[in-house]
Amino acid sequence: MRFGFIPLFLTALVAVAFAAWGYNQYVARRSMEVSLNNRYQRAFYDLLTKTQNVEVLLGKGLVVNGREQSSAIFASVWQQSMMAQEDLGQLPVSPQLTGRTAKFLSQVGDYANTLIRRAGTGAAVTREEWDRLRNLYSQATILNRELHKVEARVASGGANFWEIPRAMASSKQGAPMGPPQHADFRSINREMQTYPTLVYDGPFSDHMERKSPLGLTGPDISATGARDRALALLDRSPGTTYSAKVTGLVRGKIQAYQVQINGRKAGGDERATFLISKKGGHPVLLVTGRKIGTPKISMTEAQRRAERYLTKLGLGKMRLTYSIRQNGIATFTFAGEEQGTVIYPDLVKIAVALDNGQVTGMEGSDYLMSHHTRAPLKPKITLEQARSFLSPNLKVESSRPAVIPTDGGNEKLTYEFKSTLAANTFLVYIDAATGEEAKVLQLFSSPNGTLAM
Amino acid sequence: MMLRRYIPCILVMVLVLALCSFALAQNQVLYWGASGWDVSQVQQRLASWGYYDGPIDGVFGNDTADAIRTFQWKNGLAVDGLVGPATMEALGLPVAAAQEAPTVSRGAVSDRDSVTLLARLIMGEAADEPFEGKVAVGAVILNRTQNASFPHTIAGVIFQPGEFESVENGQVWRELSTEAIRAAESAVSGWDPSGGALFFWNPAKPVSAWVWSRTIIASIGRHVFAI
Repeated sequence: MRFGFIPLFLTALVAVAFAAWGYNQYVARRSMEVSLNNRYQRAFYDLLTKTQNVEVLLGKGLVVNGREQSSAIFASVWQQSMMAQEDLGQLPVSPQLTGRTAKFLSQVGDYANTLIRRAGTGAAVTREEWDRLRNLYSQATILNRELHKVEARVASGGANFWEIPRAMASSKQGAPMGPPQHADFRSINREMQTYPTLVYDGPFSDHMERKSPLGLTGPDISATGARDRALALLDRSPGTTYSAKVTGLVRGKIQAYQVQINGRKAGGDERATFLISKKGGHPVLLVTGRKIGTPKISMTEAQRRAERYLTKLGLGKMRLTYSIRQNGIATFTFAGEEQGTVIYPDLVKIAVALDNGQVTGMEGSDYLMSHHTRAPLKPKITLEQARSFLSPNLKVESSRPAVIPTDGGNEKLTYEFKSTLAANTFLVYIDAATGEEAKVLQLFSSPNGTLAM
Repeated sequence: MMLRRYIPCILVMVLVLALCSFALAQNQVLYWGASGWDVSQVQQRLASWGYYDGPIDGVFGNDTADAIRTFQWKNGLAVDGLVGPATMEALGLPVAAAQEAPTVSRGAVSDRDSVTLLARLIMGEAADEPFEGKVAVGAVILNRTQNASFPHTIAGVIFQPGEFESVENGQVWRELSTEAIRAAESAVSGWDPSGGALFFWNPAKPVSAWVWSRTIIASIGRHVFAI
């Protein structure tokens, strides 16, 4: 009897301890679930509020006429739709189901932004712009209606957002069955598919995705041709033997052969990928993976090597605009130069390893996308006239003509003014046709280089 | 509907504006009815020099105004009962620099945060991939921020729920390797070996059937890249 009591007591004790531990775990997990679900709910209700605001504001945008009011309304559309897009991205619903809706919200905001800029110049809203706005308004109405259906289900306690990732995890193996919201978002996405493509002057406009390279010239080359070209353009480090083979075709906007290069050397193999465009055999991109030793080369020497490599690529006439030094690698950004004008869209970047001065990277896709024979660059106003449009707070240090890319993927001839306010340096671009400020960049300098934002 | 939602915001703004203008007023001229720390300092100074024997309560009342007038008269200042810059200086208190050239702070902007965050994801998703594969994964994240269908910030893309396995299981919080950081720096500088891809996955691992409907445009290491 006495011998039986102690084990029994201990077993009970252990059982109680386990039960307590288990209960604790359960409570902890439960509270995590609730707090996570609350975050999702918040994002969802924020999304609802903001899409509602977008609908109302777009409705007002259809009737507003005054410059001040339309700027204010479109600024709110921009802000509210971008915030709605952000909320949508926080929901545990895959982009497969939210992609079209997210795109709609980005475009509404982006389009509103271009309208604000238009309103700022005093131009009246054209018939075409008004029609586009009306389309967006009716689409926003549909989105709102559909989101309210989801809301009705969420509000009636039918489902938690928490269940979505769990259900998705379990559906990965078997049937693609999701929780109810999953289906709701699928139907929203279907509704959003009906809205037409939107082309305007902004970075999220549909025409930006269809942009094709302007700088690809010459006949198509073969895979062997690409391999030989890559080996010829490679900057070899001394004492290394190189071999190359084509491992595939990269089908981006610039179709390019993927040439894999292996460099053998006692004490440090290197491996590089060189993309050579199919059309014309232009170098698109070079990435080298190897250990970078302690820096032995100065930035001036590295710059000299980068410039020499540019000549090797056949791109002699370019201007260094920017350099940065990170983790033993110096990266130099060169812009094109034509008719005494800096051409910022024609960018080529060269990376030089500071341990032995080898060029380990090059990036020429910007150049290939935008380089073309340009019409004579004729400014309508003089440099002195452009200077008079600058803020009086700025002290101009230097100025020059420059072609810059616009948000909508076009180019603009401007005057670039490097100027300072107190300790801060800015690049201000004045449109050489209208005298409007086209862009303002601030330069942040650090020991490693300068960051333009 | 919208207006009601904005009322609290408007109230807060009005309050902030009121406080700002008040703070500005304090910086410039103190007069009867003003209150606050600046007034206390003036009272303190006047009391220690024997012009004022009222309470140091930070309220500019009649007693303070009288004391100021006496002080101004004795020190050859314009007797107006107001504490302007001249009186402030005579009291030995710091005068707020008002009408000088606009000063702008130097700023503390860097791209370190985006590089580090990107390096974390590269570490989580492509630690065993060749260097160009790492750069490509970083480039996919940046391509997404430029695409209308995805969040427009690096953090927004990386932390989109359910998008990256390494974010879900905490692998991204491992220690960073130099190679991952260099790959992130390359991607931020504009290198994109993926040719503009928006998706990547390892074909050897189970993935949702949906991604296979995307157009594969490149294959690097163990990953395929698609738009």
